[in-house]
Amino acid sequence: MTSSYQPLSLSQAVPGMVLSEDLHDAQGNILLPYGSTLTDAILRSLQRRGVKMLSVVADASPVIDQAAQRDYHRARLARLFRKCNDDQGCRVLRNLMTQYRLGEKS
Amino acid sequence: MSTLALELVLRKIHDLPSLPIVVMELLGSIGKEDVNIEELSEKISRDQALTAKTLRLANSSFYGMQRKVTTINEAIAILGFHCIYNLAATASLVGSFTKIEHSNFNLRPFWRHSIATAVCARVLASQLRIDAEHAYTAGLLHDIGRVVLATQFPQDYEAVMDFRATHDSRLIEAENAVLGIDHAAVGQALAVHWKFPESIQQAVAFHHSAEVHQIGSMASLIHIADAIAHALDLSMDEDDLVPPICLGAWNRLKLDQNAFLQVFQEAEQQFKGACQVLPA
Repeated sequence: MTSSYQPLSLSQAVPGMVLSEDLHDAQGNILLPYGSTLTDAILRSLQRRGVKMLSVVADASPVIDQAAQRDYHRARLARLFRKCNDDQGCRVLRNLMTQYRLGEKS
Repeated sequence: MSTLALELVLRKIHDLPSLPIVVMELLGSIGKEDVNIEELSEKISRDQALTAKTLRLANSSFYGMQRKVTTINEAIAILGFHCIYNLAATASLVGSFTKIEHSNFNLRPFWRHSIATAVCARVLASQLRIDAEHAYTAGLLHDIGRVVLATQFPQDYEAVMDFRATHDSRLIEAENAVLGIDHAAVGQALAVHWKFPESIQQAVAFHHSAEVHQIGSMASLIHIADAIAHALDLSMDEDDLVPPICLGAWNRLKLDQNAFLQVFQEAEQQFKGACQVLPA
């Protein structure tokens, strides 16, 4: 079975984390293959190339900061559901997704 | 801004190459009892590249095989015909639209979202006792109109993407504002031209409709699967946006909270395996 993977914003990534899938630029070109271990130099290079999100192997990485992870999910939920206020169905889904990600009602 | 005439779009659609045979036959075999499995697996096997991709998927960790399968027949024997057929169809479809010349349209988030919707549809369908592989195919194809617009009208579609980014609008709003036509209408025309089954035509045409619950069970299912795929953030598109949801379609599912949480979890797990079809 696949080991669990963790989507992160680039600012949360730290050296030692391992990519759980290939990383691409906006044009779809491959920047780093999955399995690559992140280093300081790589992280700086990714920042220069405008990479915003990546996905790392959860259990092969240094402990991911739980609080930072919750902040990430909270921010992503707010972003994804940013046009949902007037739509009842969308709010229902937002509540469920908040419970799923954070274990709490939004 | 000039708008695209439906007539022009239709003419372009008729000029599109036909779908790979294996996909046509998959669509044709939906809901049929008397499918000639031997003949179809033979057709997959004759295409070396497609066979390689299908076996790579079948051997991915998602399916938890004890040992490597090396032929299409063996894969069918272990995983079942519909499963292998879906893998082949996905690989084939993705393979026919991987690069768009002279355009910044990025197909990768597009296919990630299509596969995510397909997986969500399959997981939902199995909860509802609807044909799960049929739902997968409908989910995979639901946004196919976007590929038509992006490949056949690359410059117009770049204007759509610019409009979307500038106004932070939904893509379908940007399409209607810039082109006067949207991917659901274009997808419907293509679905008719390619003779998709009725239920898939409806899912393609009405997955954004506010009254989708009155259309049919598959269209309703895809409408919800699409929203869940966006909400799970699977496309890895920074600007992704969860669309409005038709409450009628939502209530039609009759799933309780725990069932939904389970759907989210299963969909996330299956997505990882399904995504290996995307080119590196």
